[in-house]
Amino acid sequence: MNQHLMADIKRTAASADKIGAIVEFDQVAKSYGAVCALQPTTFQVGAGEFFAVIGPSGSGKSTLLGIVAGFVPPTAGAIRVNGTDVVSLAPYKRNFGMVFQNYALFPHMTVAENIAFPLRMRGVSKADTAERVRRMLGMVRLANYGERRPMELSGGQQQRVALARAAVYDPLLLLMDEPLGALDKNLREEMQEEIKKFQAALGATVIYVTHDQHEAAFMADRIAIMRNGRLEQAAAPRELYERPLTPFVASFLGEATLLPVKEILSQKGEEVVVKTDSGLKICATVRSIAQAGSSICIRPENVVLGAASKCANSFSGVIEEVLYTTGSIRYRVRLADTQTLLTARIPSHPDIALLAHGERVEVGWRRQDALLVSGD
Amino acid sequence: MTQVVNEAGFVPGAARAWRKPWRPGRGNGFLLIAPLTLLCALFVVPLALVVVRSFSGPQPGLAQYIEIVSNPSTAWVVLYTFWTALLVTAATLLLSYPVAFTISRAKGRLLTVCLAMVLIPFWTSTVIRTYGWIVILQRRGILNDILVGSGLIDQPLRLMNDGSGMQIAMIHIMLPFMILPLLSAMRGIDANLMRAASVLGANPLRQFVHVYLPMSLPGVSAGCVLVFISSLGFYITPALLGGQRTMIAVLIEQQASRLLNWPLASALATILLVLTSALFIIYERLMARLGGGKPVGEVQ
Ligand SMILES: Nc1ncnc2c1ncn2[C@@H]1O[C@H](COP(=O)(O)OP(=O)(O)O)[C@@H](O)[C@H]1O
Ligand SMILES: [Mg+2]
Repeated sequence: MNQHLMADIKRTAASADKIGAIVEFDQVAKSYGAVCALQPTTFQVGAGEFFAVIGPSGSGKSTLLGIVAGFVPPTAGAIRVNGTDVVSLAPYKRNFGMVFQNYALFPHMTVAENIAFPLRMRGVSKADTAERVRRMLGMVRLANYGERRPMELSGGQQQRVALARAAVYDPLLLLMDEPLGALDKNLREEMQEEIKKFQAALGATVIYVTHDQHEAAFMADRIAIMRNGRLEQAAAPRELYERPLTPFVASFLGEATLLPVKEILSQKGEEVVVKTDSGLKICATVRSIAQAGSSICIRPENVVLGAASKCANSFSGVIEEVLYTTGSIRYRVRLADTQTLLTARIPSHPDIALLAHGERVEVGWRRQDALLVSGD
Repeated sequence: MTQVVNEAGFVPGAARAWRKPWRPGRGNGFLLIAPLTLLCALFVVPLALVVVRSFSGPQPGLAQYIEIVSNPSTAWVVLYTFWTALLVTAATLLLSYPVAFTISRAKGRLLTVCLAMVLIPFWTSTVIRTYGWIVILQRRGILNDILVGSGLIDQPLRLMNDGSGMQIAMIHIMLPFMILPLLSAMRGIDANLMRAASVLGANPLRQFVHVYLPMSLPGVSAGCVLVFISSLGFYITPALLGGQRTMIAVLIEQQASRLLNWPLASALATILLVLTSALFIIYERLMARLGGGKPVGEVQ
């Protein structure tokens, strides 16, 4: 980003001098006939917050966003934006910005006309429109592209036009549905940073749908994880990763070995001893009441290979798979109970010799690194 | 390789694909030899003969054309043909747009039924449909029976004589030619565009005016050109339903096979050909200038 552009962004931020909307979801639900796309969901998005929604395909993310935008009428519940229920408002009266996955740029208009469209709909004067479009084009680094048609731009450029169009009327709430889904990896990472800066400059609240957990963790203040139309957990990325509430959250965000628990042997405060389905006795940590039908979650980077005797949990195993990925080595270790396959990841270093397939190895992890999570 | 397809069935990146129509490869030109030969022998050469004959009648020169223009009855037929084509095109467009819009939104059985209702008449012979209209519109036909019987009018309408019956039948016959191009343009409009317009602040009327209508224009112009040009050369319906009002094609037939005035018939045919081609070229130029639309030959 060049100097001139940064100055432009700062000026916009200063002149905007506003704060994004507070969005409250109150028992919002949606079903299509017998299909339940969204179960009653309650959560709040703070003013100026970057709120990501992630989940597998079909988990109800777009439905959630469509309900906020107004083109999916909810079957129940209320959405309050700065305290006002917007459910009965038509989309064109809500004054939110939205970036669609395929950008939804109007192909029969030029880039400048696309960006001017929302201003035109609001009756902004010609001169004012031209000025704001010009500034917006500068902000998204497309100053010389105003007269082009969207089809003549690359995917990343189209994405930026969509962003400019959604933000040109200073909406207090920006909705984005997998805005980077169609871009290749390098461009995606570049755009992630740009969108973050863009949001900081606008001061808008953002609800950002993606199926890419890395993208969500990188960009968001908080992440909501959806599954089968239900919100599983909403928390800051670090908390989600380090303290998942359910096995689904644990496995969706990052990698985890999940061991189903057969019975709770003892619990003392946060410390708990459990027996897994495969008969292993494991010392673990629990944040709530230990329940039957829960699982032990172990992050691969917390598994110690070799001198593991110091750990509360220590087992012998056999290396079953060795995988080198840039910067780290990933092992799959079959524990002595023969059922458990544990994933371990250790940083790669020239001094470290690779363990060979079939080699016996001591594995272990600390009590606080084995989390007891409940649910299926 | 997996492709992400969203709810609308939209493949990201595929958007740019529709711009590039298929073109035959350079090396495959020989495949065109047979059809080109056929076209030359059976179409281009006879047509050239017609054009030549129009100038070489009993007295070589422009005599036939002067005759057509200076004789009020033939000049009038040419003008009336244009007026009818214009009227039929406008009426077909007005009737077809809402129908095509509804069909483009329909799903499942409704879609099948609607399409059948458009296509079955389309596949039915024009002669049969014209006779159908005769049954309805003639002096003692169904329409007049109802109107007179119910006391709405005293005298039966003379729809078979003043050309209006012919125009009604032509509008009916031309409907599929308008609906189908409209439908193909409308089904190509991404539903997300309307949602985007809505979120950006456009009420339903403005969504239609600023997004839907412009995006359906390629279909509108393709349909209009198709209907207008077909109407100019329409023969069966004017011949059977036109009464005293004659269109160019009927006049050509009269001159050629009844009065055996081949030079005059050739001149009339040439006029029709030149005007039709001119219209088509103007249309193509216009579409190329607008850039957004697809020429009529490339409607999906
Ligand atoms: N218009 C619709 N009619 C019927 N079912 C729908 C419709 N839109 C979405 N669904 C269903 O609702 C569920 C959630 O869909 P969606 O919100 O698009 O998921 P996501 O965006 O997370 O992939 C899916 O099971 C989907 O099949
Ligand atoms: Mg989706």
